[in-house]
Amino acid sequence: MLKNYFKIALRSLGKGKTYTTINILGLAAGMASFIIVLLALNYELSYDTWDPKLEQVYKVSMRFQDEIQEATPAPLASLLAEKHPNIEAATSMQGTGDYEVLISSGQKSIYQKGFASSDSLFLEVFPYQLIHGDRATALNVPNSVIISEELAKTLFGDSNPMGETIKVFNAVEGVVTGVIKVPETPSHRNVHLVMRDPYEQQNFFWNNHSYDTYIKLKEPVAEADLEEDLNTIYFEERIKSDKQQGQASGSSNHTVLFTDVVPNIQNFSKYGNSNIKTISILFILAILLLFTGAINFSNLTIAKSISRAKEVGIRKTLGSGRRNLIFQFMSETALQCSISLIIALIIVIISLPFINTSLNLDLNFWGQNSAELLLQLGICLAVITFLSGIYPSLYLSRLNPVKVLKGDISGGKKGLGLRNVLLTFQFIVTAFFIVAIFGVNKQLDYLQNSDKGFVDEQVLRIEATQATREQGFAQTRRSLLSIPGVRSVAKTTTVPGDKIADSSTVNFNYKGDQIRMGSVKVSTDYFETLQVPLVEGRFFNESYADQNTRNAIINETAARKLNVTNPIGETISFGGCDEGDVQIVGVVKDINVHGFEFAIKPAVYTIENKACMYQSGGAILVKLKSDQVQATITAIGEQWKSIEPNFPIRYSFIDANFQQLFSTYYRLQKILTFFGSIAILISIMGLFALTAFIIKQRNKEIGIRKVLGANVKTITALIGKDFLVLVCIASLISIPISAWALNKWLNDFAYQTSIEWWAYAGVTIVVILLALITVSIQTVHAAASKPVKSLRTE
Amino acid sequence: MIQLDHIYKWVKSGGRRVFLLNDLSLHIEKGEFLSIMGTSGSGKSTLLNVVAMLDGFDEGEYYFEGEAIHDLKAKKRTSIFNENIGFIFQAYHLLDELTVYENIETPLLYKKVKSSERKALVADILDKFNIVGKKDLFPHQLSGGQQQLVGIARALIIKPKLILADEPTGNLNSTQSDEIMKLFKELNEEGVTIIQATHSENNAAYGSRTIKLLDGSISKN
Ligand SMILES: Nc1ncnc2c1ncn2[C@@H]1O[C@H](COP(=O)(O)OP(=O)(O)O)[C@@H](O)[C@H]1O
Ligand SMILES: [Mg+2]
Repeated sequence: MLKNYFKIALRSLGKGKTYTTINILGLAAGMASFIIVLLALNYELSYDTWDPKLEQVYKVSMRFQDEIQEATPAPLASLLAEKHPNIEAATSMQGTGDYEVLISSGQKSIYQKGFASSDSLFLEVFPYQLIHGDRATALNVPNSVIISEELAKTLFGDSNPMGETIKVFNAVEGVVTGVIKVPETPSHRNVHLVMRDPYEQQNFFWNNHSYDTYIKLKEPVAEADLEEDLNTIYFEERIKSDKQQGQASGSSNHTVLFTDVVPNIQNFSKYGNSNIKTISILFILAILLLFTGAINFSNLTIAKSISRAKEVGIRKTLGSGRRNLIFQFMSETALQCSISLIIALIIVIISLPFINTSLNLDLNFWGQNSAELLLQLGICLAVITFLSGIYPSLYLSRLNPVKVLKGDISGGKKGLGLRNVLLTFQFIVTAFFIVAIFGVNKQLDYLQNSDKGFVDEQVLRIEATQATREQGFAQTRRSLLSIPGVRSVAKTTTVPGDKIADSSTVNFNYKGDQIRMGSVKVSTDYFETLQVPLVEGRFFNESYADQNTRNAIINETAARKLNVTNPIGETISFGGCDEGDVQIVGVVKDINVHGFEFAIKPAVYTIENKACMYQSGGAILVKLKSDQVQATITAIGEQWKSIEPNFPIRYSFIDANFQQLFSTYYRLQKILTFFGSIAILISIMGLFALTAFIIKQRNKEIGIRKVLGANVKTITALIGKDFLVLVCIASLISIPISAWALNKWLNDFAYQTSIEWWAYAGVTIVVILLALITVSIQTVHAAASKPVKSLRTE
Repeated sequence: MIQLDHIYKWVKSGGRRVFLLNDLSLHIEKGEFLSIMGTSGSGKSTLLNVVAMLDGFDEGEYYFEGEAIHDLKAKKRTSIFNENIGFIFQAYHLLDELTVYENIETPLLYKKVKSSERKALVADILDKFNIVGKKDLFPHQLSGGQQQLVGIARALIIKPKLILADEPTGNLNSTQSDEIMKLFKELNEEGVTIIQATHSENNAAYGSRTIKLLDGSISKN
């Protein structure tokens, strides 16, 4: 029976080649996009699922009112482990995954991500598999180091790394005591090198808030209970003893602990943002695309049902029941959908490398979870088959054989309502994508062309050690300025365009008030290097007060925040201590440091750490003269060998860093453009096929009308009128939806472009024009053919 | 075999009932070869469709081999039809996408006959109708007479007790027409009950009994 159905299916596919091809290709395009997003979603959800034991590993962080503090005090881990009976082990560790650290062994030196230092319990908490070494003792010895298999390969090739010496940061030496297997799934904290913290003893005090705390439970418990227990311990042990007379532990004006189970950190962390929102939105968009593809199927099958009606009638007189027919039509649809899926898979496999490079992703089709992927694809195929086949099947199988064999297919009109709804939906999606593409492009254009407040061209950002930035800065500056192509040299703790630029604010005292502003440490030439315009007062000079944190320059936002007509000469002081006043000597223009998502923060620029807080970090900035950039960089590289002999130079350009900062948005733009093109393609192809089909069906009518004097225009109107009305309705429905979505997206930016009404009107016109052209191509052709021919073929 | 009692079938037109079958009663014995005559529009096709259970009726009773058809569910009716009746159309109504062989095979598929048995049955009937050489052709590659032969072969493949033929030779010339009628005669002699609707006196003469329809009623028995 199935064989018989498939035979018929294949032959009727062969008959309406154009429609079928359009159907299958359209759906394949939708499916391919869907599969790619599905891969991305799977990838994202696979974070930290490399071992089931991770379900019992939690990260402990702190929260004070609205402020989240992931860095916790050094002794927190051991306190919790000691006091909580259900904690098997707890570790405190340092080091983020993304920062590149110089690692050397013998002659070989490389910059490597994934550096961490920890106490001896790291391997008790994290279930890494060890290829070499003993889990229980690997981190016991001071200065012991465990490395990833990958890093072992880079440093030592195929020889055994155990017992080898590794130098980190050209300062600390360690001996390899273990090699861990790189987990199969990505992690929120990719680890390549863990060193037993050499300064563990001297840093073990409660005021040292710079460690990440992870705990591993013996038995799984509800997270809320765990948090309550931990907070009880923390309150009893720390807050009560600090404040002496403690209040209730639920009180909100002291620090509380909260936990995130490790597999949730990447995407479902309690505080903080995650990729999953973007990916979920993309997933919904991909499903919409898939539906647009399926709609073509449904529509063309409904259109075709008129010619299939006779077959239904005959089959019923040959003894077919309804169920047989439903099954037959569904298996036909299933066949077509399967072909689409196969084409989609081929597209995905071929295009994945390009997608990975152009979107900077790491998706893999043949990943370890292929069984799950197969299941998902199977479900997807079943759903699409069901959606695109069910209506035509039910409709066709219900036909009365006596009527259809007599040529009465008045029932054929019944499908029209649904077809119109589907067509409208398709164009709603299309118009949505066009609006989205337009809006995102406009916003990115706006960001590109917005004034950052300073000149970011030809400014080199050089990574340097703390020694070079602090004590050695004057020397470094002089040495770099001796190169002819260098215009000026400066340093800053908040480097514009950095991904993780310091955005914290601190309290300043001003006229008895506390005002939160950002504190930035710079050198004298900072404003000159970035060409930041002065608004009032003066720039820094070599005076004692300037060089010793007694004078400050603030930005316009800070000036507004101080709320004084002339801020020059006003005094402020760093909050929390009493080391003297700082006088404001200048106001500079606001500069955009963190990208345009965030409003510019009030900033207080000072030189040196001579008042209260100690700030370090950041980088050295070098402004180049515009000629011979490459030669100058080479010269700087040479010079750097004498400045920091042990560290090869690492530099980037600030303008490129800003581009990087926007990269997620460029990625979104690329994906949207891609999705949008496919949506347009699918709906246009669908409309094209549908018109072609209808013209074929109404061939005779068109012939007769022409004999009666109809011209191309009236015939185009006859066929196209209904469609154009639908497309107009679709645009009208789509615009408020897409305007809402676009605004929601724009709300993520502190600086937004405005989308005027005419943009939406323009989109509507574009969509209608697209539809009109598509319909016209067909009708003009039909109207131009000789009427006699169409009348004779009947 | 077939008992129709006071069958009425109507359609509504402008609030009035237009009767397609009007108080029609008919008894057909097993082994009969009945010809139904009447002008175009007199209700011949309507009657055949009702007898074939492809179409319903509004009033009256219909017994097929003692089974009260008017009380049965659609599914049961389909299965009685599948078991007992072969239907032949004036317009042949072959499935365009299927070959001669596959067209003839289709009813067996719906009856879930096993593959080996199917092959034997189809081969038999192709042989009997002398169309073995045409088995791989598609309908549009055949002449009208040949297409109707395939239509008849397809109706006979399930070995029906009753054949309903609606103007089976209406589109054929007289030689072809006579051949088909001879075939019917033979089948009837083998014990198959046949009801045919026809315009032609000549064709009607092959039957054992003739009734005449006028406006949905029997005017001459
Ligand atoms: N569904 C229907 N609606 C309205 N009139 C019908 C319908 N089916 C048949 N008729 C009418 O009923 C009459 C009988 O038709 P039919 O049985 O096909 O006649 P015959 O086969 O004898 O030519 C005709 O006048 C036809 O127009
Ligand atoms: Mg008739």
